[in-house]
Amino acid sequence: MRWRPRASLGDVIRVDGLRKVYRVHEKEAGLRGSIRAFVDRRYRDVVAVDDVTFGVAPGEVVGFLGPNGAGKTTTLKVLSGLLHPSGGTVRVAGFEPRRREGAFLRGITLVMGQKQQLSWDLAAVDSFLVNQAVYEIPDAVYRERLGELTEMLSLDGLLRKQVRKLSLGERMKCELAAALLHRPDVLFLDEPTIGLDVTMQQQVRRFVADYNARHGATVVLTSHYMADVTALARRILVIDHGRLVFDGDLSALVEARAPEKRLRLSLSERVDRADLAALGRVHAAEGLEIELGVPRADVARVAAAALARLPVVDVAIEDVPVEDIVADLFAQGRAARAADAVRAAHEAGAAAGGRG
Amino acid sequence: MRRYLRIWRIFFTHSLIQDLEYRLNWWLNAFNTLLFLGSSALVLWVVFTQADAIGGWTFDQALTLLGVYLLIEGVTVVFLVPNLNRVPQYVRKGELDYLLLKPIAARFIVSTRYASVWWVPQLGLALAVILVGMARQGTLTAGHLGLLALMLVAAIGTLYAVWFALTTTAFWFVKVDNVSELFTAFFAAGRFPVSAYPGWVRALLTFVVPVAFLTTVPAEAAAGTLTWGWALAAVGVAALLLALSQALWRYALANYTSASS
Ligand SMILES: Nc1ncnc2c1ncn2[C@@H]1O[C@H](COP(=O)(O)OP(=O)(O)OP(=O)(O)O)[C@@H](O)[C@H]1O
Ligand SMILES: [Mg+2]
Repeated sequence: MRWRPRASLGDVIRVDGLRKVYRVHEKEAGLRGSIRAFVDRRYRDVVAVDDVTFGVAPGEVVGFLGPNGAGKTTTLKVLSGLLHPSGGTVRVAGFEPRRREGAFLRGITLVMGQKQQLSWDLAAVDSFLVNQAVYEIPDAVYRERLGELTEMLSLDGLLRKQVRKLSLGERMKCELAAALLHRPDVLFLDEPTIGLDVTMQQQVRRFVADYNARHGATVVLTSHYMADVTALARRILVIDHGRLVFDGDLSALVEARAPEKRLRLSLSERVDRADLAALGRVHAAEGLEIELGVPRADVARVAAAALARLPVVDVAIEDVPVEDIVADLFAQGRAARAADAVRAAHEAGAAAGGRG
Repeated sequence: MRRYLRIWRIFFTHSLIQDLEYRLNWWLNAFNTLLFLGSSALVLWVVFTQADAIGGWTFDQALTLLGVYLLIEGVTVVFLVPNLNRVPQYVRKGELDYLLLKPIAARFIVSTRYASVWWVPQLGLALAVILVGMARQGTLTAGHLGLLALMLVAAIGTLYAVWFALTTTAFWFVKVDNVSELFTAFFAAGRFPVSAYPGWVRALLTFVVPVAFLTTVPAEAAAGTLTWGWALAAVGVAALLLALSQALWRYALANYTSASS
């Protein structure tokens, strides 16, 4: 898949050839391994992000997709200054994140669904007060923002409860509020909906969309829930094994990867399989429920033909689910890597044979 | 600066809110301190009925020293232990991430976030013991009090710097939970004047683990027997150790931020 590098001067986030390598020390299993590692530490480099380039325009919402371990969290941590890049350049709002200058930190926020900043034993408002003091937010402004966040996130009744007594979803909403009190222009959200039920996920999504619309904030978010990304981001970045494999509009991805639409038919009586095949590729056929894969351009014609020729009770035309498309993309990446590995092994074998 | 004071006040209030839930603890700790004070004073009194002076220290001077010891220990328990003991956990669980995202020195938050408010009575008692000791020695003057205050600040600075540096090693050796116990054991030596120990222990307690600066020097300031040389040394040592601990902290953070999870 070709992606277009999109970076322009007006971008609030610019990432150029970003590379991040973790150095981990290797330890073999068991006591012997531990002793050996103690005496003679061996290190191995893990390339978490490799040559990633992209730009994000002010006010844009970008979704980061990728399987576990792809490098999404690492990228967000580099963007927010928690990690130093091993290579390449990163600019956020004109700052170099790794320097963690005060003016930079006041303009960004990072929310990690897996970690919390609110104090467990205190009420959420108590932690908010700390943030108010840290960011030097005047009382009147603080009250106004808290009011707005309370309304947008329906926080009523939650703020004065001890945080440890809140449900996961309630806590996440309070975390979001805590992270936004200083009204940052750039939001990094790392799996903000992880572990939440469907309604709570929707609430969080709606909130992010609202916040973006009201304040024109730039949002980069990661999620394993495709619905988060499809609902919020028009543009997506797909990262796999540290490499950017797609950067563009969601609809472009769908069109490029899924030239077909799905035509669902409910029939009143059984028909010959050949009659179905004449219309399009039979994707699934269970009793009277039929699913056909039809090229986009032909959908209307095929649907009309089906209605005319078959005992159709109900018809629906759907896009191929984005999940399937992205899973496909990852599977392709795996296959390519496997092929590379096989080729490398062959070459190594040939070289060894040549020597022997 | 005002911002930092304000934040510290908020943290302290929060600690108070949390500690107030455990009222019984408050009384138990006050009782505990009284008991310790009583028994220590008794031991001193018994010892001093046998000899007029230990290592050149009179009973009243030794009593003042006991007060200084209690005060420093109180400050440790109220302000240092609850914060510094958490550093390994911050590192292990990656909780430092959110602190590093704040436009404020992370070290400040790490060092001030919690306070064991229920030990505060010990500070009052310790202060009373020091003042009584000084009154009995006849050294209760503004000059002596001023020097004592300065030496106490230097002592606390020294203690904080050493302890903070030790916990900072958590960035490399993630399990350093025992550091505080080790330190408390050494610090216990400070209950007695350093000059009461044999020469090599005295050297160890002065130059290797600066216990002499923690209790003996302030107590001498209270007794009016401190020389200017030692006073300067106490301030110099504190400043040097604080600077070193800050350098170590920065180095540790730079490492953390180049690879963390
Ligand atoms: N502190 C670390 N030390 C060593 N390796 C790390 C560290 N953090 C992450 N990695 C490795 O870097 C790679 C990318 O990890 P990262 O957390 O960025 O992935 P991710 O896309 O966020 O995955 P997930 O969807 O599971 O959250 C993984 O192979 C991971 O094992
Ligand atoms: Mg992640």
